[in-house]
Amino acid sequence: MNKSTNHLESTNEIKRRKTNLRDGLAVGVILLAALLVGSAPQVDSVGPSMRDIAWAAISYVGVLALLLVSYLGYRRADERQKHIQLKAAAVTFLVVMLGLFTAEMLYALNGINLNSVIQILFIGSIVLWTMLQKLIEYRSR
Amino acid sequence: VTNILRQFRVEHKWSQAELGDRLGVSRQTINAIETGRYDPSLPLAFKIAGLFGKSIEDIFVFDSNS
Repeated sequence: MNKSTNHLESTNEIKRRKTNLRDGLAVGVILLAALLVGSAPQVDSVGPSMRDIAWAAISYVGVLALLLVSYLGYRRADERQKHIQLKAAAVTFLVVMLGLFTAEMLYALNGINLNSVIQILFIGSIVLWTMLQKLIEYRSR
Repeated sequence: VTNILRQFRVEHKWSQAELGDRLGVSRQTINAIETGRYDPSLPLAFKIAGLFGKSIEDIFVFDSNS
C-alpha cells in the first residue's frame, strides 16, 4: 500500500484518471484526423467522392471510439462517480431530446441546415455531459 | 444516514486515500461518505464494515430526520 495523505489521491483513482486520459487522447487524435479531412461532405450529382467516404468513415470510427471510451470510463468509475455520470447523462438526454425535436421542427419549416445542427447538437451534448459531471462533483464536495 | 467512518479511519491511522485504495474507491468518495454527502451502497457499506471488523450498524446509523 502506498503512503499517502488526505491531500493525495488513492492509487486506483490515479490509475483510473491516467487510463481515461490515455483513452481520451486516442479518441482526440481520431476526431482531429476526421476534422482535418473535412467538416462536411461535398456530395454532387456524381455522388460522394473518396474524400467524402474517408471523412464519413473516420468520423464514424471517431464517434464509435468516443462512445466506447465513455462506456469504459463509466465501467472504471466507482459507485459515487457512476451515480454522478448517470445524473449528468439523464439531464443531457433531456436536453438532446429537446434539441432534436427543435431541429426537426426547424428543418420541417425549411429553416436550417440539418447537418450542421446535428453536429452542434452532438458536440454540445458531450460538452454538456462533461460540464454537468464537473458541476455535480463540485457541488458534492 | 450518518456515520462514524472518520473516527474508525483515524483510529487505524489511515488517510482517506489509503482507505479508498483498500475499498477500491476514490478519495473523494471516502470524503463524501464521511461528510454525509453520499450514502454508500449496501455492498460498499458491508465492505467498509468488514474492513474494520464491525457490523454496518456500528458505523452507519439511519437518521429519520435527515
